[in-house]
Amino acid sequence: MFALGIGLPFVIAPSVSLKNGVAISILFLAATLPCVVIAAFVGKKPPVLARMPLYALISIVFVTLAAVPLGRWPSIRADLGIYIPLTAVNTLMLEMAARHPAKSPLSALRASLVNWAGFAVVACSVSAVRELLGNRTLWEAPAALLPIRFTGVSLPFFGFILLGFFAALFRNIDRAFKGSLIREREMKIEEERGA
Amino acid sequence: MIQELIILFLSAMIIENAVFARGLVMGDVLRRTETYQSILWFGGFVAVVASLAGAFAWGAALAADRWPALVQCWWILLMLCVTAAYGLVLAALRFKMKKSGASGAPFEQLLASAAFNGAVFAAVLLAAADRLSLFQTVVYCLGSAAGLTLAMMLIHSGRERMELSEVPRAFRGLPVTMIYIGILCLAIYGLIGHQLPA
Repeated sequence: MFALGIGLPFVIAPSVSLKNGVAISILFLAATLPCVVIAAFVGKKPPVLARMPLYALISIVFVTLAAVPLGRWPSIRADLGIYIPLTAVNTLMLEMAARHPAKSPLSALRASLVNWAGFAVVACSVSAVRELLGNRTLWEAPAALLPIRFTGVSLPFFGFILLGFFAALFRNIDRAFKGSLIREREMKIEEERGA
Repeated sequence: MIQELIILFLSAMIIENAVFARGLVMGDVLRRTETYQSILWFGGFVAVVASLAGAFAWGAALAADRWPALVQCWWILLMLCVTAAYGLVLAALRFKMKKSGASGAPFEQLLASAAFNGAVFAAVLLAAADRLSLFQTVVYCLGSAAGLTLAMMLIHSGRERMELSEVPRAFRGLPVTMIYIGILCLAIYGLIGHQLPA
């Protein structure tokens, strides 16, 4: 997500509360998983330029079905608005299904679940932060961490800025983790040389 | 009438901008803003596909009025409109490339990305939801594409300047770009005349 800008629109605009974040994550899964698995079965048989419309159409069918239960929560449905059908043209699905289909359905399933999990973690984290700062609630239960409310957090600009800082934090953690792995390997090599 | 169309065009371009107001197309904004030429081609393809798809969607709305059962699969119907528009533009592109003898493969890839993204589908969805006339729908979709192209150019020029600046290591690339777009977004929000919610 933080490398290719995949899935960003669904975190920037509609994820203003944790419930919205969870709902958009579920819709994202419905839009992505079936297409990626079907693409693994079908492989590279369809012509390259026909794959995008094909999987976009398959995806919108699954999104339409997944959106039916959302009728029970009209406020969430109203908040998500046009982002519900827009999940059908998300970049992750187009990359994994249309451009780079997996070789086996099992690897497709694993890859799409792993990528979706990454998206869901970011979407829910950003939504939770925005709900805490904007409404001083979490999952609509009072959870006042700060004495004041920041009313602008529900606007897209805050989503962009928050994601920018999250991306920088992720990069630092990744670098620290990789750095520690490299140091461990170097220590092992030195020990082997010493032995 | 012309004044209404101009207002609709400007509203689609600025107030309902696909990038700054809705955060759409971020994948393409980050990966396709390498040169101004590629941005213009991308924007051009978005304009053509969105306008055609919008026109088809207007027809689909008339059909849905006649056969209410179509409303159950409204999103699927709109996606079919986008697919039909993409097919037409692809056929026209291939015809043109065949006549000129040039290789159309890079343009075909760009067209596929331009057709199937959030900006085109959002423009079609919104135009259909507002029940605009055929001409208004086309103008709205053109305005949306123009706004997207301008936004991509603005982001590209900002990224060019940031590459020459001393950005802290953790913020290089995507993080500083997102912060930059967020600040632009807030500036445009204020320039339009909005205020932060109370």
